[in-house]
Amino acid sequence: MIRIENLTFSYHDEKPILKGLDLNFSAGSFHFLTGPSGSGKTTLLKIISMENSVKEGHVMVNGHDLAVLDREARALMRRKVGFVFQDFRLLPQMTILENVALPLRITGAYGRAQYQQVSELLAWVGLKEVTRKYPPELSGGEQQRAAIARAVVSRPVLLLADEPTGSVDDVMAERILHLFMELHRGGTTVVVATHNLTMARSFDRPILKLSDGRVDH
Amino acid sequence: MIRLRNTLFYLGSLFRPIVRLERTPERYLLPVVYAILSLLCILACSLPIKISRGEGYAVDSTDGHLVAHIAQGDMANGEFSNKIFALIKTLGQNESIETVEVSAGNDLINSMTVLFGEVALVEHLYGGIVRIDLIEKVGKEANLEDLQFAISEFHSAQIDDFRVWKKAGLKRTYHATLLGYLFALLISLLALVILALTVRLSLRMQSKTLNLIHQLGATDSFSSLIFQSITLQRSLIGTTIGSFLGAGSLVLIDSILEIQGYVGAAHSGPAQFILLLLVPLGLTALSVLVARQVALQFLRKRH
Repeated sequence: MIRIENLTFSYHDEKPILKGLDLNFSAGSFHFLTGPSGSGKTTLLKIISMENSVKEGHVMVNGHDLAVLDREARALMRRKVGFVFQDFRLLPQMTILENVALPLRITGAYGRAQYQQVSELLAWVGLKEVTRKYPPELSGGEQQRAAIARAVVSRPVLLLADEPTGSVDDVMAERILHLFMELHRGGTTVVVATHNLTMARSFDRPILKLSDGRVDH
Repeated sequence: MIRLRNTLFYLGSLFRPIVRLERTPERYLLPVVYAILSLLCILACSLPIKISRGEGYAVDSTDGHLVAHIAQGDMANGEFSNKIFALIKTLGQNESIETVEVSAGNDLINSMTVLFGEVALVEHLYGGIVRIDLIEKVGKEANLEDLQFAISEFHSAQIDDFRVWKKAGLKRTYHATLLGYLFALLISLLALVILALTVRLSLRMQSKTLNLIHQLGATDSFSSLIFQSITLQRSLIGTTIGSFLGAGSLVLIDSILEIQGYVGAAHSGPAQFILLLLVPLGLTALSVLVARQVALQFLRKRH
């Protein structure tokens, strides 16, 4: 599913964050990615999700080398990737329902059935009462749950989550990770970057530790 | 089938944007600018139409029409009258002349006052003048030299077939028309330049939204569609307001011309009112195309 070869990355010619990274995530796998702040977890997820461009090395997603994909193909590829951003990135001018439905609307696949699907998903993450509210009216935890709902609403083949449980309590954190597990059982490849090593361990899934831009085996 | 679906999606998104943008101050700019510019565009286009109509009326009404103004000069009243009667008879016998009409005194002053609007001026110009109107037979052109010879007894009299001022008038009309359309073109270009700058500004101000939808898989065409859609809405609002202002202005201009004593020929006709539809629609369609190009260019550079 994801093959990373000799990946080196730095922002604006500064000190490299990722240094010759080699990694493999097979299709349908579930991995936790841990490591201290600045170890490159978020950067790695942003490269896989094509938010950052590959400068050195190769990143293959679903058999496609990201460096050679054209703009249209990259956009279509992004539609298959769900991303839970650390900073949620909900659009403040749109309601929670509209935010969550956005990936479906972008693909043009949004009808009555999808509306129902979005409503059910929002109910599942405990946001049934706030679907018509705007993100600034919600707490951090609620916004995070909305961001997670948006990431999974289109049933992506690859789900990348950057600290998805950072702003929620333990009960909700466990529910969210169970949702990811459910998606994983349905065939979605899941990569979760987290600080919460204890919770990651409780899920009995491979844990990769990033340290100083490399995988610490 | 896929093409049809894409077209329907495109049209649907054009009229009902999928992504709502943040409320930024520049959203007021475009409708206001477009209202002003489309009003100017309508006026600039209607100017040549109005002049052409007036000119056309003047040309049509003088076709086959000749006129001579004869001053009494030093002749005694009786002698002058006899000579005028003799002249009318001579002119009436000309084979290419259909009718000869004479107007003098109050009749002449009354008829000319309609055109000039001021009795004192007409009395000053036409006091002691006899005006002879000659109408040519259909399809026959009178020999000007023959007619001029017939009136040569009255030294200062000249047969006027309106050719000289018709030529000058047509030249003026041509220049005014050219100027009007040029002005309309410049205004349209100005509108599109302002639009392009506004769309760029809007794209910059909406960078957060654009980055997110880009990350969620929006193609450049999709993202540009949002800006086409808001351009469509804002320019339609602006140009519609401009069109209403234009209609009001045309009615106002007509009434001013009427008060000033200009004949009904200069009144706005259907062509000018069609402009009220064409300018908003044309400007809006062009704006949507420009917005698309600007947005695509911006997005390709950005991401």
